[in-house]
Amino acid sequence: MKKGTILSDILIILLVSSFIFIGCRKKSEAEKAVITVKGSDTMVNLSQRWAEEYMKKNPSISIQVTGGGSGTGIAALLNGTTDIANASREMKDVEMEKAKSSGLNLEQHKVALDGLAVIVSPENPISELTIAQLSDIFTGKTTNWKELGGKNLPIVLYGRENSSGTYEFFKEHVLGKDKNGNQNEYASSTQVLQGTAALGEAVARDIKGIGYGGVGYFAQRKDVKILSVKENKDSQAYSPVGDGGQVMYELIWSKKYPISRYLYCYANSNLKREGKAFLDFIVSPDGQNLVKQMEYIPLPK
Amino acid sequence: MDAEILKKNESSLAGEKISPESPFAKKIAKTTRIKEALIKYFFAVNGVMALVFIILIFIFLFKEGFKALEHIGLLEFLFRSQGSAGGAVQKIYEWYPTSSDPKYSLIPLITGTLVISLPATIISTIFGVAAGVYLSEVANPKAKEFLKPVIELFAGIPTVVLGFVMLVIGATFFNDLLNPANRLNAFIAALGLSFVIVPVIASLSEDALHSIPDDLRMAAYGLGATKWQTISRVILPAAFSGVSASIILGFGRAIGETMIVLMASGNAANLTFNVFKSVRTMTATIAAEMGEVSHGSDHYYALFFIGIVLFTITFILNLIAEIIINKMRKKNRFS
Repeated sequence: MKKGTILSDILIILLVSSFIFIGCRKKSEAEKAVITVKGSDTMVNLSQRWAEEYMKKNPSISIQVTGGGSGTGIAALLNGTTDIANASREMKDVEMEKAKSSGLNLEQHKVALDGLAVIVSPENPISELTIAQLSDIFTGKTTNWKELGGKNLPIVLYGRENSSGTYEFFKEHVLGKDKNGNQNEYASSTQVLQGTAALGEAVARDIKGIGYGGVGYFAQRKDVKILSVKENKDSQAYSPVGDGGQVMYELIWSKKYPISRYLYCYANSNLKREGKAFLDFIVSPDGQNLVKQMEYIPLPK
Repeated sequence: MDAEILKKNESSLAGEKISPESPFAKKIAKTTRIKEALIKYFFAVNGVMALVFIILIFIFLFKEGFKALEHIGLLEFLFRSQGSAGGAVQKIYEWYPTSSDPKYSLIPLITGTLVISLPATIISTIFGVAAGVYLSEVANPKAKEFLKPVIELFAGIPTVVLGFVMLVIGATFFNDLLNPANRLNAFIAALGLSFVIVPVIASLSEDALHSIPDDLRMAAYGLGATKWQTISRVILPAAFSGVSASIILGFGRAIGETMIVLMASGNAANLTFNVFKSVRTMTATIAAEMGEVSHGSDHYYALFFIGIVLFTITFILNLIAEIIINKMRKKNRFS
């Protein structure tokens, strides 16, 4: 082979491979009506599910869901870069004022609830705890079950990966803030498991263990014990799940069970027709069925 | 050359004598030449593709990962200095990337990786080299023919299956037996990893031992050495570089393995050297957090930076092993 052909070989290879890459590029979907949804990471999966189902029924509409956090979503709504903002908290006063000053009329839509169950091994004699006790357990201040009236065994903590919404929700609602107003962190000895199923598996087999996860998921499981939780030591303790394994929706709706919150969608009142139809779908029986499927709590009837 | 032979074949098949100068022969020669060239380029493209993709991945990884240095800073990846109440500055080694005051120390992740991969490599070295010696020196050809594929089959077990087995069966067994601090711990993960690394070390060290010339064995036997003396004093020292290369490759595999450690190690970002405690590796951190991290955030770039650290470590380990193996090959050729 002549020396000069090596160069032409390389050129041809580069040409061919560049054609392959060009071929991989997606075709644009410019002709569809696009609705963008941005916000809470807790709600990304749920929102994605709603969007998929809605797009199946209305193929002419494209709904694009992204995460980034409730704050990011609301900020994007305020500067007009998204149509709908997902939020796992209510809008703050600062954000409300910002909306007013820029002449936006934002509407709040409650779309679902999120409730977390605290679980231990069925062999663990403890059956109820206060929020303060849970905070001490998960921040690593309480390290032995004996201190809570249980057996003389060290406490082993099980949690979720730090980018999951469940992790954040439990941190904010249960771990709380220290006396300087800083958010408490989980103890670094907290074991991180992939998903609620693996966490349930680990807690079920570990008499020293304690963990948390969606109420809807653990209601079905017989091999873990769901703790009753009380706001403080004088109030009454409530379990989010009844004796028969059914989720106690009333207790969660009335906030008697303390580890729960509403999930919201925020949108401008002059949202385009397609967006409004999507929000209507979310609160319709079909949309709320998907909420149950995704192991969240549907809205009160 | 090949084109000419083809041309001759085709013309003889046609059953008539065609002079190479005739227009028909020229036409055949041209089409075959084009076909040959196309086939050549097709294979070349496929071969070069691997290189292209590695380079693209390399560029992507470093492009994303180095943004972490702009956003977070190199020192933050080691520790966070925090002034305590007494005025003394305290170094904090913690991985809390999603906190309101994020901490990005990689130290607990790096120690976590080592606390799992070092025991795994030690366990696998013992069993892997022993298996390699057995296959190369002791086993009769029939047993070898059967056992070698079986051992290599172990490397083909999906790691998620091994992880699941360790999570469900292994963890329970060792929890009852040893009562460790954590049910899921570094030791369980190391045991799971060994199933993957033993075949790597066994197969490669068998190759290394096998490539030792028979002259050495004969000489040892001739001097009256027993089988064990031959293996331990002659063959193993002679194949030392090859065997150590296999151990280094096994170590690299242990550091890069994800699924088993993700499932069996418990993933607590503990700064500990206790193998019976739960630890978290660099690979598991990327796998667990990449799925739900928001793109373009500091956390996202930090995960890519972990990727660079991992890539660099495994790259260096593979390079060392490759150099050792190459040297060994040259040495054996001239001995």
